[in-house]
Amino acid sequence: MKVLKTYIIPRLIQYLLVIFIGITITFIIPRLTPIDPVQSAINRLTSYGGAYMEPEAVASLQNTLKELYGLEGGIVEQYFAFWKHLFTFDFGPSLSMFPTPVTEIIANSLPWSFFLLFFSLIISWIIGNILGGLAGYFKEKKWSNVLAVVAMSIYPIPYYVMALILVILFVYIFPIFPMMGGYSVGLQPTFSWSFLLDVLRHSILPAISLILVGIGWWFLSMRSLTSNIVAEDFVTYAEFAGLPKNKLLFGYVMRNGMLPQITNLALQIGGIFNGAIITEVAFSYPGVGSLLQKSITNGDFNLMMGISVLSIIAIATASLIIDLIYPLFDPRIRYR
Amino acid sequence: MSLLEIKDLSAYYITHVFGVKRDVKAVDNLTFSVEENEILGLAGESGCGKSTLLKVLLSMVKPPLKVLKGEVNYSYDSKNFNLLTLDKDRLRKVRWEDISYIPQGSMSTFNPVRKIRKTFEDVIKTHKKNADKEVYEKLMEDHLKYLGLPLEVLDSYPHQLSGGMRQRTTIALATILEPKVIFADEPTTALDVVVQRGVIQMLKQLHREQRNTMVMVTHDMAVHANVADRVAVMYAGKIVEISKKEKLFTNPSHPYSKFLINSLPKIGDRKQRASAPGNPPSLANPPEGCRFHPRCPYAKDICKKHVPKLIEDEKGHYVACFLFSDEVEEGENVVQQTTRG
Amino acid sequence: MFVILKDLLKRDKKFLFGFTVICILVFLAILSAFSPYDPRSWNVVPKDKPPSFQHLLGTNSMGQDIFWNTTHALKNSFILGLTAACISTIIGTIVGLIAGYRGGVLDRVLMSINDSFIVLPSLPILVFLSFFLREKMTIFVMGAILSIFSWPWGGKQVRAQVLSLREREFTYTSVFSGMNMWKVVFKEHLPFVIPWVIANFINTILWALGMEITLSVLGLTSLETPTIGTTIHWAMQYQAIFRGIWWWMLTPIILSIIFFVALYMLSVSISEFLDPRTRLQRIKMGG
Repeated sequence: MKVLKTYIIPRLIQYLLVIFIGITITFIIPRLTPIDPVQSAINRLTSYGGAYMEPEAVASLQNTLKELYGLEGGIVEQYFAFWKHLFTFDFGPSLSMFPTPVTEIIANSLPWSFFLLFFSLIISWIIGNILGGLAGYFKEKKWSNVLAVVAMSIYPIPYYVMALILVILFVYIFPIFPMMGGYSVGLQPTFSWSFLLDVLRHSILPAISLILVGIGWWFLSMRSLTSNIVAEDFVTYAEFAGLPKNKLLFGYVMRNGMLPQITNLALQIGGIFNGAIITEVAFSYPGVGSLLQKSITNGDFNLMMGISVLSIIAIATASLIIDLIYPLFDPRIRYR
Repeated sequence: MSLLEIKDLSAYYITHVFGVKRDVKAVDNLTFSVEENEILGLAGESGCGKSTLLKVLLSMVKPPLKVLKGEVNYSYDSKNFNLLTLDKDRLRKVRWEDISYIPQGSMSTFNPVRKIRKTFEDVIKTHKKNADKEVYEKLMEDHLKYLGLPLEVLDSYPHQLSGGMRQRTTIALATILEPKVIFADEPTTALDVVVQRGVIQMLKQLHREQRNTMVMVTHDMAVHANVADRVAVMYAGKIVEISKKEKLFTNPSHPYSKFLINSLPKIGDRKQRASAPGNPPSLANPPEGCRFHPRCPYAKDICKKHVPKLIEDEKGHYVACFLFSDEVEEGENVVQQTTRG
Repeated sequence: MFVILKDLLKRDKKFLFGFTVICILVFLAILSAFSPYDPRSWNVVPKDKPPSFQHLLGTNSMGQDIFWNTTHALKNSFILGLTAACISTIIGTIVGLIAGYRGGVLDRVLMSINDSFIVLPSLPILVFLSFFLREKMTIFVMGAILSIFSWPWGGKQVRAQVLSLREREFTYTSVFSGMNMWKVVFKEHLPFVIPWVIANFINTILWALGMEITLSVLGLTSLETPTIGTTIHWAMQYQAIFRGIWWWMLTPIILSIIFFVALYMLSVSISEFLDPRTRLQRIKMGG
């Protein structure tokens, strides 16, 4: 158990380091421009005239903005004020949906993104790894190589382009699926079957988009891992002993191949998240991705900041959880 | 009939990479036999083909290794067969129960993510299909106790054991079904001397009490001196001498064996150790004629053109050298009887 | 060198495909120097015309010739990819070499920073960054910014290689003969690490181009500069698919697929060629 401390504690420190670096970067960024972001934000708000704001509201907004982006006080002061805000998850109000606080807006979109990302990830990881393991074990067979070429042609396609292809194919040419949104326009979100089915219908294309590219990657990496494992001593010895093929495949080869794939999952999660975001944009799926796009169009940098910081924390946490689960699978870490 | 008879066996590594064709003649036209209940040592430098020979004798032939010709005939318990021609099911039955293998570098013979017990179970279950759990639990524990290994080994993971312990556990695994023939590939290499002794003792005990036959491949002549009954010396893919251990160490016949024995340190002898001049040839491009002739101080003309055949010059003693006979090896070349000259 | 090239071309279909396609694309990019239209101007040709002899890939809703626009897009894509890849590979390789060689505290510090950057979700941060730096976003600046997130992958791989090199004899020989760290690292270790450096380089180009598409679609890059991403952006803005101007949308889609797949094939075949383990697996039976 003591050994776990040599694994867990460094990992936790790493976690804190990631968050620290990420948030510091987010702190620095607005201060790189010559224009004062606070002033431009205020100007934009007051000139759009969407909603009339009372002077106190404007004043408090100005204060928040100054603390988040402002340049008053020394850099260190600003830095601490910044962290204070973050600890309370106070990113201020959204500039485009004033005065709704940013955290509330993000909280509404988060479940959609989580739902899409989680299921696509699990499905593509499991299917990709199983197919990849089989393909790596039977590397000389024709189907293994055919699948590999297919995977190699799918995996490099950027997420957005894949999404576009699916839109063109299944929304225009064969209009099976709806093009955008999380649910049909006009429907009220309820917990009824019909609503859930409708949600599912809308999620399928984005999910397929993510899953296809994902399977490509997991397939190829697992295949390469497995073909190396097959050449290792303990596998050749077990083959010599005459162990039946499926026992070899699952108990010996796959079991060993899964381990690096778990680690890879922790490393890839950042990239997969990126892909999910842009896929949402392509389908106008009401998740964090579309929210991000809206924030760009509206110049709402409170919202942008909120999304940045929260995604840094979310991804770092996801990666941490995966890394902490890893010793459960690898006895070499569990027992020293 | 001998337990194992090898006839005209040739196995090459045939490689064809980027337009370059290269045949590595690791095992070239070998004919010899292994007697029942003996320990035959297979000696030779690194790269002379010992491990390949072992693989072929176990029918573990995977590309780019290819058996070009020859037979590997086993004969025991009224069973007679050529291992190379067996079908998969018979092969599986024969392996482990009759013929077993202790691989080189037993550092990684166990599945790293499973307990040792599980690997043992897997192997036993493959061969004793319908046994009850208690039956093979007992089998594992008894066998380990018999070999002097602690029972905790079974519940450990491979990385928790030391190299020596892993080696001995591999030996336990290989012998658990009391096979008739055991092939051991460098069982003592990469172990410290104390553990080496333990391993050798274990092998000797197994040989004595289970009355099996062992073929031990190692370049460590001390191990041969300790353990073997007869020793076969290999050079560049061919066997140059097979002799009883005592004779080999006191009076080797083949020039290469002479160099081999002379290079061993002897207590009390302070002369500088000499080794054979030059280097062993590349197996892809072996010299014509006798493979040893470029380094041999006794080389004659005939040695440069023809390969000497392995003949029995005294009872139980074989040598392949034109110093001892004129017989030329039959191969792709025309057989010619030449006079001594 | 050329012998190897010829060998690879003959034997590895992946390399053949990748190499040929990239050569064609480079040719097209160079062709952009001869473009009769300035890519930044609008309304130089009739709008929304389907492909014809005059306009090989048709024209778009902003009155630009798509073919010539695409040549510029390719050129800019190459510049972007190469910039990001150069900076990122240099930083990553140096960090990996030093961390792997030195070990100890330096290694742990470097690797902690390295791994932190790997986990950081690049998109939200890049979005935030691009938003504030929109005006200054030339192709080169963008490449430099992208490299902030792509260098750690190389660092990790190179370090892994160096860790095993460190224990080999020739390292001890160099150290004992008095070479200082920099000499050992660059003269002795670097040559061994080159295969991974090359594979890394190509993969970074892939990633950078992918990111460019993403950022452009979101409207965060310099939108008058033609790139694959901005073409898609404008096509979306003008609802190209809806209005049946499919040639405008299909060009960047198909181009990007071919470009990316070719680059990937190139990267895979080169690293397979250079990796001694897979070399063994590729040895076939002859005779």
